[in-house]
Order: sequence, then C-alpha cells, then structure tokens
Amino acid sequence: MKRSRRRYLSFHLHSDGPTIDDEKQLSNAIWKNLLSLYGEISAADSKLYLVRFDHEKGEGVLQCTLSSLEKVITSAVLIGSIGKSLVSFEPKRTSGTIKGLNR
Amino acid sequence: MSSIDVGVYVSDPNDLESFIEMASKIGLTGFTAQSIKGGPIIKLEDGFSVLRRADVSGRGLNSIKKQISNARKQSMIVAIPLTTVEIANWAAEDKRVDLLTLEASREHRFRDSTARLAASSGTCLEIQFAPLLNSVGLNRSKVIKAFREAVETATDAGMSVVLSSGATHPMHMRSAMAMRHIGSLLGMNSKYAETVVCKTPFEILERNQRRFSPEFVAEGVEIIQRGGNE
Repeated sequence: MKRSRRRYLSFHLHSDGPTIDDEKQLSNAIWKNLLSLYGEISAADSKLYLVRFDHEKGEGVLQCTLSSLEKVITSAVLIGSIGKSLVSFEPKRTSGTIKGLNR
Repeated sequence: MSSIDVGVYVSDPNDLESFIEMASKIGLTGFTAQSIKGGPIIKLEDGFSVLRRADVSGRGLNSIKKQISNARKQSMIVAIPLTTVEIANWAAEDKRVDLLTLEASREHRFRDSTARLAASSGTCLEIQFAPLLNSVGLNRSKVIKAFREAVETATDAGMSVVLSSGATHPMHMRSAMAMRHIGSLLGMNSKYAETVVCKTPFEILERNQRRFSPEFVAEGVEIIQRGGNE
C-alpha cells in the first residue's frame, strides 16, 4: 500500500468559556464537521489525528494527509462552538514535519 | 497575512474592547462597528482601525434614497442588503454604496444583471459567513449553495467580492488565513480567495479615505491645486 504524504498543522483555539479540557471534544468536533461538509470517504481518507493540544494555551498540532489538508482546515475553521463555549479556530502554520512547524 | 473585517456588528459600545482584543489576537488590523463615536474611522495607537459601518435598509427604494447621503457622510463603509431587484439594481449602480450584502435567508436571488451593474460602478458583493458557523447539515448545505452561486455570478460579471464575518460576538471572528479557507469552500481558487480577504477590503478603505479628504469634490473630481489670491 502506498503511504500517503502527511502534513502537520499548528493552530490556536480561542475560546470564550471554560477551556476545552478534553482533546477528544476538539477532535470529535473537527471530525463531525469534516464528515458533514465533505462526506464519509473524505473524512476517512483524511487520516486526521490530533497530535497534541495544550488546553491552557489553546495551542495544538493536527496531522492529516496532504490531499485533505485544505478540507481539514476548512472544517476546523467552521466550528462555531464546542460544548457550551464559543470557539474560533485559528490555523497558524503547515509543514511536512513537526520540527518544521517550529522553524 | 493581514486583513480588515468589514462585517462586524458591535451592538453594545461597551463590548468594543473585547472585539478589539480578539481581532488583534487573530491578526486583523481593523473591523467595522455601527454605533461608534468619533468619526468614520478611529485609529488606535497600535495601528488598529475601527471603521464606522452603516447598513442602510428600508421599506422601499425611496426610504433608502433618503438615508444614503447621510450614511455616506458619516460612515466609512456603506452597505445595502440585497433585497428586491429594484433596490439591488439601484444600489449596484450608485457609487456611494460600497457593499451589497447577500442575505442567507435565500429569499432574494442575486441576478447577473445586478452583478454587471455593480461591476461597472465598483460596488462589491459582501458575503457574511456567520450563518455557516451556526448551522449544520441540510441548512448549512443550502446556505453554501446560495453563497457559491452568488460568488460565481459575481465573478463571471467581473464584480468584486468581499468576505466578512457578520460577527455579533468576538468568537465569531476568524483570522485572514481562516477566511481564505472559507473562500475556497465558496468556490474561489486560493489566489482569488486571498485577494477577496486581504486586498479588496483595503481597496474599499483607501477609496473611502479619499472621499473624506478635503480635496475630494465628487466621484472622479478632486482638487489638485488650490489657486492663490493673485
């Protein structure tokens, strides 16, 4: 099986209410939006994975395939709220490696 | 990548600080507000701008015509919601109007003829993406359809498009990069989406700042040099 090329996305999640403690909440919100906007095949092919999320700073890193990067960002940007908190997802940088995000 | 959000609605002037804080965090250099005091543009110390925006609406065309001159004199951005054909076509041709705002209610269609008139006068189509944040599933799909059709109609006619948040809460605002991706969702290629988010709002601002200069007489007429007494 051919290995798909990965991309890493660093982001900042702004929130007005209590901080999003659970990484799964954020990951599920992006998955749900991806599924709703682009369908099951695209969601499956994205290989979306939340690498890390610092809930105090609101900063984190996502991993997905290169071909689905645009879709993943669009889906994340359109999240209006998580739980009872209104949120604003701010994509920062994309890179082929985690190390590259810090350069 | 910096941008100005021309579609922010600050209903309570006391909330202005929280909007400014959020906008600065996400890298915006300015946004609009309706009920601000201190002229059509307020420049803050860090280079941040708050622009006065007027949304002119009324029961009919006559009502809008009565309000437009006053709105133009007092506001940096003048927008008219896209309603009836009569109002839309008049607004598209009128150089005092900056934006024709597409309503997500889908009651009124955005026509080719309106887009062509707007293209010749420099009026832009404004798309506010707030309804995309508040809806899911079929409802969102219908909004996306309406927005994509409007973008296609505008670009085919050569009319400029502006993407704004329509935010009533600071958390509804998005960074320039985020807005560029929303533009892609609405059928724009990435280069055009960047222009729509990062270039067009500044062009509108620049054009309107000229209107407020003492040298401006009317559209296309400016005082280049003042004569002396001799």
